[in-house]
Amino acid sequence: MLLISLVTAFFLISGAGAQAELRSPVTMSVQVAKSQIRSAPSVIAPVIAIVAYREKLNVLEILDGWAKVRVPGSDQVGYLFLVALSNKTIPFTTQEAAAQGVSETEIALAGKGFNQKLEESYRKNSNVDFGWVDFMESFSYDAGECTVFVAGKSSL
Amino acid sequence: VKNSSIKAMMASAVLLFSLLLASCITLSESVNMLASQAVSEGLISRYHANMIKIAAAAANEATKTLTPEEEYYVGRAVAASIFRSYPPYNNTGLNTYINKLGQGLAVYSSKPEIFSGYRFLVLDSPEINAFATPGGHILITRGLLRLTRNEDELAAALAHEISHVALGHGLASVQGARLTQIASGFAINAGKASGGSVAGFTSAFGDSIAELAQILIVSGYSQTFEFHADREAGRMLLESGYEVKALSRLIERLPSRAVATDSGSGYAKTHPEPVSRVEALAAIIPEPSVNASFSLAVSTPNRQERFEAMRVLF
Repeated sequence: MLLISLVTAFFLISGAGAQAELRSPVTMSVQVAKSQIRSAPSVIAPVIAIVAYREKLNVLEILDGWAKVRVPGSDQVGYLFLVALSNKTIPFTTQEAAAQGVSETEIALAGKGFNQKLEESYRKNSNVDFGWVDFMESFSYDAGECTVFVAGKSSL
Repeated sequence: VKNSSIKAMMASAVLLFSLLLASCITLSESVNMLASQAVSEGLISRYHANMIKIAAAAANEATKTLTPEEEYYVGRAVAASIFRSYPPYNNTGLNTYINKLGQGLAVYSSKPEIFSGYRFLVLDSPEINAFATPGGHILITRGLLRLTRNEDELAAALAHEISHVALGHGLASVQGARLTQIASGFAINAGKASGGSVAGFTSAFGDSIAELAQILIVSGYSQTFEFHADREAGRMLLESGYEVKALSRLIERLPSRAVATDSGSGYAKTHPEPVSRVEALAAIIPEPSVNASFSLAVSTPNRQERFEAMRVLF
């Protein structure tokens, strides 16, 4: 049943615009640094929870690019972008894996090749300055706020 | 290790990789099974069996795409590399405007959420150009900003770059298999209790970053990718309430390749001829995605008013 659910989820991800209530909840992992769970499938709906990278969520329904999920640690349900989720488990960082004694093969298969450690090593070897990259990443705004801005409903 | 053992090990390795290349059997299962069998029959040692398993894992890694986290770190390094050639324009008001506009437009893209979000920065260069890294770092020159006449055209330029990110054009343009092999090798070595040997993989990573930056700055994406980004940008403009034809109008004012020089007109060097892009766009009538789960009434006067306020900074 789990396999069928995962296959179903995969096809729903591939096929834009699909809508389906899953027969049983499917566990998926957050694959972005952090994501907002909203009360309705819209970026202008209120944020009811924030989930972090690698956190596992129970997906109840998939509709129009959104995943309906159970909010961790509560009875609430909410919505987040389906692209923020992966049907693969993202269980650890390289450093955590090493500390936990996870095998090298598992680390490689988890796709943990490019990370902060590699960037630090690259910085030392190349003298490349990441200051402006950090600066541009400081311009972070709520998706709902930006959507209202794009519509011309707010000024700077 | 005796010569006979080496021959047996080589034979096993050849057999394993032949199987891997010839079929789609589950990689780790088949390798583990064959390697264990080879050990039990005394053909290879446990050490060599383990080495084969790791090599197979790396080969498997090379067949899959990078994770969003990996794309992010590649993107950061590529952006840092571009900043070596193009200085940023440190104007908080203008960069805030570009970010709110760009991040709002990204909501309408086929990938509205990426690992660390879309970020935008203006480059202090008169050259007409823009760059997008796999991690969502989008850089646009003052030269390209000056070419825009209203917010619709600015949105068109940003939507085109966002589409390169959302459609994964950056990593598809480099030798993806090599990047994933580097990632895998680094992961394995960095995970070792001793700290492993990461210098070689760091150097290889730097080579790949340089290659990707070179593509963005000098050679550009394939024409197919550019047309796909135009088409996706057209859909985003439609859904966000901007005029779709703004993209064609902006492209018509871009310099042609004939005037591109080594020192300027970077956009002309790295993009298809404007006339061919306009023709391709004319054949497309974008339709809103069924994913558009909301729509907001648009205030065109407000858009133009703030654009005019910002235009003096371009």
